[in-house]
Amino acid sequence: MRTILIVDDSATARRIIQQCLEMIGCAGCEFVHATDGIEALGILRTRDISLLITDMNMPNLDGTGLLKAVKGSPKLNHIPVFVISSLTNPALESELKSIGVDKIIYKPASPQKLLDGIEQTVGKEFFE
Amino acid sequence: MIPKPGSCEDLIYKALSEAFETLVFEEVVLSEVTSNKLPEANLDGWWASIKMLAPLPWGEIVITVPDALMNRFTEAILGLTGEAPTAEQNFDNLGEILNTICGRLMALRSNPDRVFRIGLPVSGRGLIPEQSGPFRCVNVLVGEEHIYLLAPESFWDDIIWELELS
Repeated sequence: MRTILIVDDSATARRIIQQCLEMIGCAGCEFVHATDGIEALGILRTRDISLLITDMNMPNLDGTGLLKAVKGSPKLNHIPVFVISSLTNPALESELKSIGVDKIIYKPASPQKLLDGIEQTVGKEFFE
Repeated sequence: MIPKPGSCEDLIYKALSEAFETLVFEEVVLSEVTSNKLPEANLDGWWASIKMLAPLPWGEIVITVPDALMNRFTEAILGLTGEAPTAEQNFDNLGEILNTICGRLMALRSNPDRVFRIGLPVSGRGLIPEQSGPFRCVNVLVGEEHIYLLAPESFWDDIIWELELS
């Protein structure tokens, strides 16, 4: 079973993302939630995560910090990372791409945006 | 060439419309814009605030939503049927709504070549936090209910916008 880690300090945002994923065929996946980058890194060290979806603006360790930690780690850098952000900002997009983000999705998240992201980066086999 | 934005009233209305239509499926109508006048309504309602940090420290954006409307928003966002939203859910949802509004505002107002940064949302109920400087208050209607969005005067300042572009 694939495990998807959703990181956002807003319970509403986490719930919306999970509902969107369930609607596009991830209902059989296990969902794990974290409220910031520090908590997410703790989970990433102990769990086998297939997809990491993170907010940008969070306390303690934000999305950029989490992305740097994941993509800079030989043990974790194979994990696809989607960043979900309310800030539609080309300069920020360039910065995130230089760190290695796999997909940037602008809020509000929707099933179609997540489906496109998964198909473009991980491939349709993610749903098998 | 980076296009100059429209008036701040237009930008704020556009950002509010986009956020409410996508998040809670509600249309908003611009009612009025006042200077340095706190809303008399919504004193027992819900509020959220977010600091705009970069590219310029414009200050704080605050939104106020009356009680019944906030409950309606939370029910729509979370798909609640037959259960009343909790205070925690309303705080979280209003923070998320304002986060989306501020994201849109920054995109509409700022130079896209600069990195935008906003603070974490802070939510509360009752009296809104005192404003630290001059501000404008944008009043919009959702049905017959009033939503107020307070933005610092500097956010309207075209000179700051021109400086940021240069």
